[in-house]
Amino acid sequence: MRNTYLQYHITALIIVFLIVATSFFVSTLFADKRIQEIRSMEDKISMDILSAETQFALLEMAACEHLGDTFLSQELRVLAQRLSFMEQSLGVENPEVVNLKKYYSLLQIKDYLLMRQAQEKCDTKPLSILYFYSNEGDCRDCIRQGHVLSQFGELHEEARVYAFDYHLSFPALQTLIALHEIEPNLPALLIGDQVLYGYLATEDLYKIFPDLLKKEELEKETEEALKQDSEQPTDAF
Amino acid sequence: MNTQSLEPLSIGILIILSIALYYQVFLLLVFLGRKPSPLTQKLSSASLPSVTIVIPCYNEESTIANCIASVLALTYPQEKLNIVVVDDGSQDGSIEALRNSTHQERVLVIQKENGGKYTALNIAIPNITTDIVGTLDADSFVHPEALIRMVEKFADPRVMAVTPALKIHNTKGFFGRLQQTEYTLAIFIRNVLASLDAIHVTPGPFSLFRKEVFNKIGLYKKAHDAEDLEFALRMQLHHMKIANAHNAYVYTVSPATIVSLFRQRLRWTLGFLHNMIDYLPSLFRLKYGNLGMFVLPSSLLALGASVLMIWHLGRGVVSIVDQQLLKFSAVGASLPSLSLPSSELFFYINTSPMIFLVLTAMALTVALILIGKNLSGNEPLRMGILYFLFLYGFIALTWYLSAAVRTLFMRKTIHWK
Repeated sequence: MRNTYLQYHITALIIVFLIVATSFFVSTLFADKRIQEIRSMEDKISMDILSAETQFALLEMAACEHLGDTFLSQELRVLAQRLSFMEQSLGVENPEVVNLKKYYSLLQIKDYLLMRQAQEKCDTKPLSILYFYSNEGDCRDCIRQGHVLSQFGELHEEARVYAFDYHLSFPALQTLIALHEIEPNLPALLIGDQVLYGYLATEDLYKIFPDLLKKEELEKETEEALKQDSEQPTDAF
Repeated sequence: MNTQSLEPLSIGILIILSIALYYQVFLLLVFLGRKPSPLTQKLSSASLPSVTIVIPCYNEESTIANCIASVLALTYPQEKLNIVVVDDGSQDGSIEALRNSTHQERVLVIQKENGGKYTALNIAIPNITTDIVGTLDADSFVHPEALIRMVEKFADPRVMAVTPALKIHNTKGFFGRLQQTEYTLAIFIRNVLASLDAIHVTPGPFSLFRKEVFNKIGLYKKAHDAEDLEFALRMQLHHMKIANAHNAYVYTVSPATIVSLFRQRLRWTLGFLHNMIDYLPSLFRLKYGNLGMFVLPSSLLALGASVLMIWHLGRGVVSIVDQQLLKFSAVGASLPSLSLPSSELFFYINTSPMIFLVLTAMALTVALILIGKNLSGNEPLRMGILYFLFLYGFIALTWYLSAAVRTLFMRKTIHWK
């Protein structure tokens, strides 16, 4: 019988077990830290929304210009990116991720309701888009729609894009879906009180929001004019 | 605590990574824990055994003269060293090169019809009467001290064969540096495998055998163009000890292009796989020790794992391309945003257990290469380590996958010449 170096095999087994266990432990620590960051971000947004609601109540009699930048689209966008990353790294069915997503959906709904109230009070046109998607792998158009809306939201901060996982089991979200009678024919967009089904390209969105297109064109023209001005030689004194 | 949800493929890759780590840690432990062999000793000139070195040659006109010159330059008593060159029906100028080489009176040349490397060796070996038989590839060159350092290992009467430390001759360029690092790692591995009695190749570039080995287990066999592997396996099955002299350097000409490298490695891999099929009964047998229980199964697993890895990688690449095409169809071409502040970037760093295991395996690989470098005489590896760590796996996958497909569906071999 040859020497099998059994003691070395056992030691190697223990060392590898420790390495694997440490990898999982460290990885979990990082994941927990991320979840804590998201949770504190959600808490901050929640506080801000509460503050906005209070401010709204206090200023109910005040002029519309005071209601300018109370809402939280930028923070919600960062939060959405982080949640999307967590979904990819921990999995869409991870209970922590699902809970964070529910809370995020609730915050979006509250922000949306505040927006609606402000629009009614100030008689402005709705610039909010409620986007319902599925990430169960059955909706390739949802992926494309997500890219279009992300780009649209980045270009026009005044347009609020709220994204909801249609299949997320959450009473507030399901009420919103039932209220607007949104069918599982995804992607679906709720703009004002109108529900639109299927993929909408950027051009289609500009047809719905022509003012944003005009604004963008105006900005482009101004930019080009400024560029031309800067390229013209200046007179020497 | 959060647990990551792992799909079956990820679990498979996690297991493979753990086994790879286990292999590395085990080799490292054996290396650190072994005692130096007390039987390796300097031999006096009178006590040195007589040696015959057989050089099979087929179309090696560019290297044969230098190969013979390196043998003639060996530090070894002239009267105890015989050289036999067997020309295996070369069609180039090998014979002329042999005739023009200096000291041709010391070299016995045998010419025969082409029949493959093993036939060339087998025609010479039965007539050898020296204590030791050496086999040397015609495209390899030996260090002047290589023979004497290897012969010293025969002071241990249990040692039946000795393998050297293989180095590559041309270390320039991408493939040169890549292979230099690979060979440096192999020097470490072969050295530890010798301690485990688990060397399963007596390398063609240069190996020494006691003459009695051939008397006991026979000559070389046709073995899927991997006769040196089959012969070593046969020796191991007969419980014949194969030692390693890590300070006996032999330089071999390595492939300089991806095509020639692919062909060489495909031949090696196919040779390994087909011989494994032939020697299947020796696997997982306790009487064959670490060779049967650990080394050969691990090597087979490494091949199987490569197929799984390529599937995983391929799936990842297809998914990325698909996502980018979808994005392109939606919003056109756009570069990924790099405008995140550093605190945000930290959030998006991949910290999955897989990443930590890969990093640990890479760190261990570097450690083993550095030990091999120390064993082999501290030649600078420069960028070779980086090439090896980040690119070798992907390049090796091509011949692993090709060999697996050929073995499973075609059982085709690639001939050595």
